[in-house]
Amino acid sequence: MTAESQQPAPDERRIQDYLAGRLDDSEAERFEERMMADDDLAAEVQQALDIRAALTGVRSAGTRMDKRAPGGTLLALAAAAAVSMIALGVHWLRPPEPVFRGVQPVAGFDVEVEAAGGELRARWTPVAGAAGYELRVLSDDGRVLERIEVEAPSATLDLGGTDQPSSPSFLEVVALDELGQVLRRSNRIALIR
Amino acid sequence: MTEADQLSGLRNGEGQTSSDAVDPAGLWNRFHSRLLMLGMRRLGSRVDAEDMAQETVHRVAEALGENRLREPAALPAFVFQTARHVCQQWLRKRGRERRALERYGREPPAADAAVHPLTHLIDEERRRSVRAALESLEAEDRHLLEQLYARDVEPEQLARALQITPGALRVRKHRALKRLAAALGGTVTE
Repeated sequence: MTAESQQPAPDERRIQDYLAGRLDDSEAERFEERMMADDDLAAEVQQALDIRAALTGVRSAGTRMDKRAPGGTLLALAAAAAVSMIALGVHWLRPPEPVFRGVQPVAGFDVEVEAAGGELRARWTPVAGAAGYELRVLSDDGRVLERIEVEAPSATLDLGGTDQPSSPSFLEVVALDELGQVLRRSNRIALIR
Repeated sequence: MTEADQLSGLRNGEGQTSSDAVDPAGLWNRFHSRLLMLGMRRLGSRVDAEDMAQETVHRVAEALGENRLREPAALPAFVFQTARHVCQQWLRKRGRERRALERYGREPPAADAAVHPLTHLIDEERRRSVRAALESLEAEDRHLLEQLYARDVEPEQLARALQITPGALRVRKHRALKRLAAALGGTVTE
């Protein structure tokens, strides 16, 4: 093995940085120019992107491209919702009240959440300049378990079965501009069961 | 052989470009995924990136048809510059260039920081196929690819953790990628 082979190939980290958006614009442009001329590099970047997207999909279970919640959804949340609706009815998200519905004025727009009939419904005050919104359900360690992108300031998530290993603990809404970039982000609302 | 055939052969022989590159389908197959990444990064939308890719291939094919590319080796650079030009035109038309470029790479850290816009190029069906292919790999291969490409573990760090040299890691990675490609039926690169 040569001394050179003891070092990581520069492209390996470059690929990681490119796909993670860590290159500045001029670096990314140079990388793309090289990739355009190097079929092997392009193939590896494509593979890396495939893997990244596939495994990211496991963690985020849905994509912005889908425009809908995927099939595997929030069993724990559904159970909690059912219990909440049957035993407690609808309550505001203000501990120590039994809660599964709430209004929280955050960062300039309010989010209201309600669980009923096997669905999680949310609505919020429209954000100026927003072309769409993304509703996210997160685990207690901050991972995105579920997401749905909508144009109107409301969304409904199907609370069907889920294969998620973690229970949903928080909900947040982000306002997106026409490029899909985050304009504003709400504070997270705890989903208390 | 007709005069046209001879002329065609002469053109190729003189290095106008390779015959597959003149063919728009050949151009498309070779550069499509690269153009999508380039377009997605600049335009922020898969639909727009697809439109940009189509327009770029159309313009390049047109230029090749008019013999405007003399040096075959310059084809990738020509495609790249054409794509950049198409993106710039598109962004200027909508007044988005400054915002799009400024926003790239400075998204605030979030719970799903690993989800970069480029990953949105991969649709759910493809993700499922890749996940299934990854599941079919040996745990060692799967772990290595996940650490490198999904968790962004630095190659040196991963090599140290595996108690191998970076060179050996690179070899393992290439073998794992080959096995993944085989598991996908050779459909990793479109």
